[in-house]
Amino acid sequence: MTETAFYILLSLSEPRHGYAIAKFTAELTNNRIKLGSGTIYGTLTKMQRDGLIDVFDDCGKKIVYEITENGKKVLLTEIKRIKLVYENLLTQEKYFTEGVNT
Amino acid sequence: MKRKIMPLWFADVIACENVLSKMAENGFHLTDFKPFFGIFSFEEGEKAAERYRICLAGNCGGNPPKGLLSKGWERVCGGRNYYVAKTDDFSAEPPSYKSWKTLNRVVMVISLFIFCWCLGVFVGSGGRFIIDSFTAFEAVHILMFVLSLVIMAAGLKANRKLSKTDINLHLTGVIKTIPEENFIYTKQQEKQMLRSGEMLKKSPLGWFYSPDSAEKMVEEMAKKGWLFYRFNTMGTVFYFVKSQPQKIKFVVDYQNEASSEYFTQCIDDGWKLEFTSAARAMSFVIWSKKYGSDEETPEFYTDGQSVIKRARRTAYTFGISMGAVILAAVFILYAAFTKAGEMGDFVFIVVPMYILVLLEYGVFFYKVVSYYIRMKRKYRGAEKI
Repeated sequence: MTETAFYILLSLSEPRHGYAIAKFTAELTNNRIKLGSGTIYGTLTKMQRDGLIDVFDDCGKKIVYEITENGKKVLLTEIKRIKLVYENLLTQEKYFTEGVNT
Repeated sequence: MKRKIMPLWFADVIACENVLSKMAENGFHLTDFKPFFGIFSFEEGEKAAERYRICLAGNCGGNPPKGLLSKGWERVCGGRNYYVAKTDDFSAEPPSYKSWKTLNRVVMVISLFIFCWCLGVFVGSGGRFIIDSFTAFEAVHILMFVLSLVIMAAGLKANRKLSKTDINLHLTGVIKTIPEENFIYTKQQEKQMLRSGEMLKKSPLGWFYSPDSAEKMVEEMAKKGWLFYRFNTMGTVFYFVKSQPQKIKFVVDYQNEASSEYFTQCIDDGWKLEFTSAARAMSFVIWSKKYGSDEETPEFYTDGQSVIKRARRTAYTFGISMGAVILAAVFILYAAFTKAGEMGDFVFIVVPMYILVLLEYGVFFYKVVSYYIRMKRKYRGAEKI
């Protein structure tokens, strides 16, 4: 899963529209990740087609999305994977940091 | 139980929905619908004023989105990729006809292919076979030719009607190709500025087939002190005004369907709408954003995969219809050269005309394909979503 897709799913802890997802992601990552409007629009469309998210409200000018059960499963699998990666890097990090300024 | 058969219901969805409303007014409420055969089943009940919507939605399993249900719509019936919803609340906002318009466009491109093929066969024969002989082969081609024309015309008419309904219901964010507020100067002032050299025009041939070059050109012009001002109504001429050198990000985006959500999202994000086109096979939407010299370049697409996808969609959409025209032109020229004797003076009209067509479309085809290749090379290795 790409960082874009991951953060979009992570932002859907509550139903949100595209721009709200971008803002939430920027806040969550201290502006490290700024999702472009085109990227969000395209990714949301694809995720909806893949059944990861669903339309919560499509009547207004802004479409509000919510995560589906399938989307939650995919996100939790990815979170589990990242946690394992994190555990691994904590045990290995010390071998690389010595004498290196980051 | 009452049944109504409307085999061509899909040619005019709005009219079909109106029929369903009329039936409800007479006390017959829709209970089931077989889209393939156009069979609508009704149950008799109380007379009621109801509004219906038949919506295409991939993998919806026959269920309308929750948001629609929460706004007073209810499910009537549905299948894997469609649903029918109704409401008695006429103020409830309906879903847009977006997916119908997309489907119509696909059907129109297929019809264009058939049309070009048949045209190639007709002109290639110098119009002779219609006069001299009339076999099953010719009959099929004439039928296909007429049918493709009828389908293209019907598709255009249907999409115009669907767009108009969406616009009336404020479901399409942008109606005009250039937003009114973009016209800062009057026509008179513009003429004067063009004469005095404060404004200049550029019209790169077929720029929309390689939009990355156009984006770069506008950004470079801004750096040199020529700020993009507006397009002409066709979107072929760029107008620039003299200003201080500044930084601008210019984006040409292709969207099969520019939904109101898309516009709202981009405007919220600070993008200025410069142009939208609904007239082409593919709608292109142009955005710009000014930014300071100490600011990061704003990006419309923050992942390479989306850029490649956009380029691929452009290449396919334009490439396929251009390919059809190029093939037809090659076929006609081949026929003109091999049957020059039979065609008489007709050959002197056909050959130069189709050489021009071949050259023009050949250049455009090259532009659009090279744009895709460029983007693919630039973002090679970009992660997939």
